[in-house]
Amino acid sequence: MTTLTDTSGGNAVYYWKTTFQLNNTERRFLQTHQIKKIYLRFFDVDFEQDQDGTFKSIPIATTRFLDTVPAGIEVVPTVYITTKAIASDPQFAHLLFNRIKAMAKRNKIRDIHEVQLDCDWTNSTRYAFFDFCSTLDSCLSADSVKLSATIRLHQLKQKAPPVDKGILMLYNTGSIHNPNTKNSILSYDDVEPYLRSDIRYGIPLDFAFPVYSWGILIRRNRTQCILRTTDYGDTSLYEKQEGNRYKVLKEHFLENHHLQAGDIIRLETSQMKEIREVKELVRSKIKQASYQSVIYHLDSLQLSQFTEQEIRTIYKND
Amino acid sequence: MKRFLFILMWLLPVVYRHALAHTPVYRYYRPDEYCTFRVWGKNMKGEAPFQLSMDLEKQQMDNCRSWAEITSPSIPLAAIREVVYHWSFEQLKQLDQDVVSGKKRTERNAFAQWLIRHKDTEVTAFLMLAKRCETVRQSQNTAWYYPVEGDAVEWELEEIIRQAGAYRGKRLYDRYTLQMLRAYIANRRYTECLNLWLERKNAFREGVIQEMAKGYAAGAYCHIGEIGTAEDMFFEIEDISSYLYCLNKRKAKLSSWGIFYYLCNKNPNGDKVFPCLQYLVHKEETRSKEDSRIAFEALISFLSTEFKERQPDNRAAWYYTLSYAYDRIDIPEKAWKYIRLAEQYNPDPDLREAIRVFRIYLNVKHAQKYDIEFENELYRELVWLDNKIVSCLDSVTRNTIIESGISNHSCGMSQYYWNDMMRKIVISQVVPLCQSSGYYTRALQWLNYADNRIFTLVDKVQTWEGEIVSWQAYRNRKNIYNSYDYCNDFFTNLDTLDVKYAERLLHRMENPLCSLDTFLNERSYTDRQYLCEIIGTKLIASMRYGEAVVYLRSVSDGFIESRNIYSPLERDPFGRTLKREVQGKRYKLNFAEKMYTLEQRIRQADNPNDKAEYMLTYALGVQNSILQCWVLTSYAYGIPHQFHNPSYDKNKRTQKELCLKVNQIKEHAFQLFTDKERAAKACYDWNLFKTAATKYPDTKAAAYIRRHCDQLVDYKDLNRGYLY
Repeated sequence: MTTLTDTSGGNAVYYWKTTFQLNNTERRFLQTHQIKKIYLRFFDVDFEQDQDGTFKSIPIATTRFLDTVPAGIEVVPTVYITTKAIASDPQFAHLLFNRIKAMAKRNKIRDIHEVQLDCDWTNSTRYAFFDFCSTLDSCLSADSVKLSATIRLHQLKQKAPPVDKGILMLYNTGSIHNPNTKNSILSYDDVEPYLRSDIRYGIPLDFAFPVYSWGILIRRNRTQCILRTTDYGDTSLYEKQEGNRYKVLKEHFLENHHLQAGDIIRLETSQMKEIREVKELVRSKIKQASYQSVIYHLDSLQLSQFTEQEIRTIYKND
Repeated sequence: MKRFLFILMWLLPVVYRHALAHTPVYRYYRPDEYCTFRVWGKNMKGEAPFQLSMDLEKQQMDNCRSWAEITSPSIPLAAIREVVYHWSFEQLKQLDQDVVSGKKRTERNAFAQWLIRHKDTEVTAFLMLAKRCETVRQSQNTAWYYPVEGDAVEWELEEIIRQAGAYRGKRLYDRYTLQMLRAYIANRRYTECLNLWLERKNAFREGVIQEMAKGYAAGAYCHIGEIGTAEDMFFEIEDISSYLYCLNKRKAKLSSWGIFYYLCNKNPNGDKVFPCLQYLVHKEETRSKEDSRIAFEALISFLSTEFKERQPDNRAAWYYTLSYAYDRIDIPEKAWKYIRLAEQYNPDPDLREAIRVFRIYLNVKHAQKYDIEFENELYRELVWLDNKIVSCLDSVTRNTIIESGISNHSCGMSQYYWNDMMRKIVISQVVPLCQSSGYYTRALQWLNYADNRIFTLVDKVQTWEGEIVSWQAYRNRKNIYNSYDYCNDFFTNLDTLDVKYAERLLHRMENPLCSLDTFLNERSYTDRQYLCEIIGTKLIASMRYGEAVVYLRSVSDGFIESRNIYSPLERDPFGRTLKREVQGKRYKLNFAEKMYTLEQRIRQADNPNDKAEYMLTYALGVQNSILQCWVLTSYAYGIPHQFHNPSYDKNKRTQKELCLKVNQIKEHAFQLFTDKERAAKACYDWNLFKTAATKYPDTKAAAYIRRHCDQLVDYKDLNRGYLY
């Protein structure tokens, strides 16, 4: 199996929005950090009703391209597939392949060398997903395109999927529904149990680290929703409490959610300390010759929380 | 402990209030709200006229007629439709090969036969191209399609344009042009589409192909921003949904009635006018009279002007509409005037029947009283309506009634126009008139007919398990919960009217007095045991136990078992706890017999203490029969839907009256006691601990109460002295 680990010296980043449009900060980020590869979400696949009302696996939330990808950057079309789609109607590999090709062509994305699948497969959906990967791989290999997949921590204990490479997702490691979770984005304590012993995974792995923040709205100890807003400095609306928590003082609306007085917002950010420790942990426990770090994801607002040096630290291969 | 049990005794019926579904259920709408207005018979289900599947149906049939014109008028349209719309590309290709080779094949389809016989490759070549065009355009509409310049879809469409453009004949010239227009639109080549339209629009024969082509051209105009032109063209071909899309695009929204008036102004004889009118009137019919008044007044005003200025066709339908509108705003003389005019203007058979239905409705609605003359006239008309119910029942409707007739009736949902109209007329007009004229038994007969006519006709019902059984079998089975006979209007009235009317109804069923009795009996639910059980129950609720015994004795075990009464509800009617006493058939009968015996003993007792104890047992029976043993006197406890059935207030009143009666008997009984021990024991049994301990302090019961004063504290009569 050919390894896809980048050897050109460039870095990679995820782009995970429904509209592709880069602002100046993001373009500067691509230049400054020598980004040579973008894992760009093209669309999701879910099991939903099509126009005839029949339930099928169909593409949803297709990314609209309002911008062209800067020259010199390789795009890896990435598709998120729900487990429901894989479990219920997994016969869409050819359709997915043709659609990726069509999207790439129309949006002038050339030189595709890799396609990535993102799926939270478990024991019950493993075989369906692996079969799907094999079918897609045979389509892609005709065009000399490699296939990669995201790998979640819980999947490390399973057999590796039949793809050329994996990217270990080192984010969303905790449960947002657990009121005692300190940081669901990334916590060493959440990662460590999966990496207590040395791991020799069946495929080469790169590591994806988070650089995003979010707020978790909690009401009466129950998680209500995720808030993208990360600034809760308005003291007329929020009162800072111990740790990373804010108390809602007044009923109001935020991102179409109804916040009530007394609600708690747990502000979670990607902590450099945790990233460093986790990076060290995975490097020491996952035995392979080389790896690449990937940042999740390209968003100027979120990236502004990090210094350039910190970003370099994430990317740096020790 | 005893106090706890007493509280529990009061609470449990509340818990059980939903346990038995023998109760009128919530209705979506009442029979008087069934949609009646019918100027365009096909759509009584409220489908929006601009999305009607029958538009497509009409278009397809017109196209088939057009094919018949250019091939042979003797070919059945269904055969043409099969080939043109339902055959796959592979089938058409095989047909083309057969036509070319002239090979004789056992082809059943008459159109295909004709093409083979006449070696008509011109048609088969076109049909293949059209099928290809349709298939490619369909693939564009799948969720997976992502258009890209120069993709296979675009290429295929361009090829279709090229091939269609190469046709040099005259016979299919307009059809090939239509395919080109379609392909241009699918490839978003609007300029080319419009140029082709301008070049060839005069080459189209008048008819369906021209209209379809005009629709594509209008779409292209809309895309390049010439909305006004597009609007006019869509209107000309009566593509109202596209027309509304254009209006919406230039933010000129019309109300629903606004669209109707616009359509009428453009062409009052257009095909869309009556479907639109019927849809809008149906929408108004589901609103209250007050809310819909403005709409009907505006309609009257519009139609009055319309008749003055223009002479639209189909005047019968317009007069029927006016009559209907005047009825809705309560001007009966005008409603009468216009319904007579409608009858004079030669309505088509469909409309003639709709007019007759509405006339029956008006007749009953405005009748002053229910008398023999009125009944004879009504009977004649309802025989006609009943015949319509029978003759118009098709297999689709029949199956729907088998599958969901019970729930549709129970919830007051429309299911079949002729039956709906009968129910509307009978339940909303005839029955109230009957009752206001004092004919309660006849009203019950009418209700029985209205609620059961369609089921006696279809005589099949699908059970919850999916099995289809006869109505008799459905009613007799022990594992099927028969809710229908205990929730319809007939039952509601039986259950709430005085028991004498139910008794008279039973007599009338068994001894018909006239042909109407026979007519109604034959179409109603006439099981003697059903009525006897209800009458027995009502007599128990009226404390007429001796009479109840007579009726309940004639009810068989099998019948009671088929009622599926929730057996845990059968509690000991003379017990002070919630002890179960399942007696099946004999539960009501035993109770009635025991109460009747107690009545006799009370009358005959010489010893006042014996008499007092009989009276208290009797009072306990009455009390329990409306509380924990409420199934003895009614078919539902609490009635969560009572707000929808005001008649059930009467049951509540009966219960109140019985409560008062219980108190009177108890008061009288306690005054009769001369034996203090027996009096104290009775107080103890009725939880009157304070009274027992203070009024009869030297008795064993009083001593017991004092020893257990922590458990037997009687706060209730503490500050009020003795209760009895």
